[in-house]
Amino acid sequence: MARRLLIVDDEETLTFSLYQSFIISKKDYEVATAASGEEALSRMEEKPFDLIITDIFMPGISGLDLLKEVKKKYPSTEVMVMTAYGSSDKKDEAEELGACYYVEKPFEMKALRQKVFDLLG
Amino acid sequence: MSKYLEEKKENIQRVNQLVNDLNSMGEVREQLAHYKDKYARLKKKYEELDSVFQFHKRIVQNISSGIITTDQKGEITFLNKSALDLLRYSSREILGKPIHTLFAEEDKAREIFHQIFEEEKMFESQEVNLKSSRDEIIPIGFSTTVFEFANGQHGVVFIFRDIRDQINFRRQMSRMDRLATLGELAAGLAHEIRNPLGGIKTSSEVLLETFSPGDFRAQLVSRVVKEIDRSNALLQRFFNFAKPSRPKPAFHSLPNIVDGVFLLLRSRMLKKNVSYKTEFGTDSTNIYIDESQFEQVVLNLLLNAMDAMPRGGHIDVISSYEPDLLATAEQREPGVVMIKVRDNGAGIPPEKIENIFLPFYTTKSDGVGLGLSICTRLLDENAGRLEVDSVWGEGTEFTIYLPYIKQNQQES
Repeated sequence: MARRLLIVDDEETLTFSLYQSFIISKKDYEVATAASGEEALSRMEEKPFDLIITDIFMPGISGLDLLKEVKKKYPSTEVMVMTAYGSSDKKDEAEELGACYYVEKPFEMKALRQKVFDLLG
Repeated sequence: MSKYLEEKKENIQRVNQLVNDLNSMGEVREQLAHYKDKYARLKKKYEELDSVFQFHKRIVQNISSGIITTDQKGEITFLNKSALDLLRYSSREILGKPIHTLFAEEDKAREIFHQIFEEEKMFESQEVNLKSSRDEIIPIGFSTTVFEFANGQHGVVFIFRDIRDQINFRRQMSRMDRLATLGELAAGLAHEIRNPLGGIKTSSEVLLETFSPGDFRAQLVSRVVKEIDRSNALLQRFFNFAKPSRPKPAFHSLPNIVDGVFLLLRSRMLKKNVSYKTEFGTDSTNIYIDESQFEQVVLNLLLNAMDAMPRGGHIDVISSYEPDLLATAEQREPGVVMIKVRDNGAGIPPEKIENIFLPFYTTKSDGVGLGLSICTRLLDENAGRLEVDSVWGEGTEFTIYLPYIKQNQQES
C-alpha cells in the first residue's frame, strides 16, 4: 500500500514545489497538500496520513497545535515541522511535542526529501 | 543685780545666736545638698540632650542623602557631609553663598525657590542638575521642606540624592525597549521574507533536478539558489539580535571562553599588529551564562577593538569581582563579575556614543551595524549589561556586568 504524505502550509509556492519534488522522485507515495491546520485535520479524519510536513505559523490553528492534536489522535503518524522563524526556541518546543524533524526555511529540499525517504521507505 | 541680769541676758542672747547660727548652718548645708542635686540633674539632662544632639548630628552628617539648608533669601546656612562630598566643596567655601550657585541651570534654581517662598510649593521626588566645584554636572532627585528657625524666620531644607546610576539604568532600559521594538519589527520582517524565500528555493531546486547538469538553465537556477542562501544568511543575523534563543545558562570558565575566542582571532591580530593581554581577578573566573551567546559577545567586542586600531595597538581583557555592584536593576543581591575589554584605538566621539548601540548604525564600510545591538541583547538575556566608556583619540573600554553567582548557591 502506498505511503501517504501530507504537506501543510499556507504558502502555496512551497506546498506546490514540495509536492512536485516528491512527484519527480518517482516514489510510490500518495502526496497531498493542505493550506491550513484545519484542512489538515479534516483530511486526516477522511483517511490518516503516515507523515505530515507542516509549517508552524499559519492562519487558524498553528503547526504546533496541529502537531499536538495529531500526536493525540493519531499516535502512529509522524510529523515534521518547518518554519521561517529563526529562533531555536520553537525547535525545542516542536521536539518536546514529538516532532521527528525540524527545519528552517529556506531549507535544502534534497535533505528534507531524504529524511522523508528514510522514514517512509 | 541688774548688771548681773544684763550679763545673763547677753549670755542667753549669745547662746540663742549660737543656736541660730548653728541652725542656719544646717540650712546652708541643706541648700548645698539641694543645689548639688539640682546640678547633678541638670548635668544629666545636659548629657542626655547632648547625646540626642550628637545622635541627630551624626544622622544628618552620615545619611547618604545630601542635605542643604538655606535662609529665606536662599543663602546656604548648612550642608551635610554627603552634600559637601558630592559637590566637592568645603563648608567654608560655600556657606553663605546663594544656593543657585550649586545648580547647573541657575534660572531653574531661582524658579524653584521662588515657588517655595512665594507660592508655598513643596517639591517631592523632582529631578534637576547640580554642578560641583569642578563643574561636573550631577543629576539629582530632590525634595524640599520649609521650616521655621528659633528666631521665627523661615528657611528651606533641600534633600537630594545622586541619581546618575538610576539614569544610567534608565538609559539602558530605553535602549533595550528600542532594541526590543526594532527587534520585533526585524523578526517579523525576516519571517515574512523567509517564507517566500522558502518557496522560491524549493521551486528552484525542483526545477534544477529537471535539467541536465551541463544545461545553462541549470547553472542559472543554481545561481538563484545561491543568492537565496546569501539573503537568508543576512536574515539569520537579524534573527540573532532580534530574537535570540532562550539562553541555556551553566557555569563556565571565563578564561576558557575568552582564550577560545582569542584563538579564533590570533592570526588576524598578528597580521594587524595588535597585542593582547588578559588578567582574570580572583572570584571572577566562574560565570553563569549561556556559553555560545557569551562567546558571541566577546567575539564582537574583540572584533570592534581590532577595527578601532587599523594601525595596530593593544587590547586588554580584565575581569574582577565587584561585591557592591549590580548587573541590572532586577538583581536582588549585589555582586558582579565585571569584564573590561579595552583598546587604545581611535575612540568614539562623545556625540556618537549613544548611537553605537542602535541597530544598523555603523561606521564601517562593510558592516551591518548589528554587533553591539546583538551584544546588548544577548547580555540582557543573560541578566547582564554592557557599558561603554571612550575617549576620542585615546581608546574605548567596554564593560560587561554579569551577576556574580556562587556555584554551590545555584546548585542548592
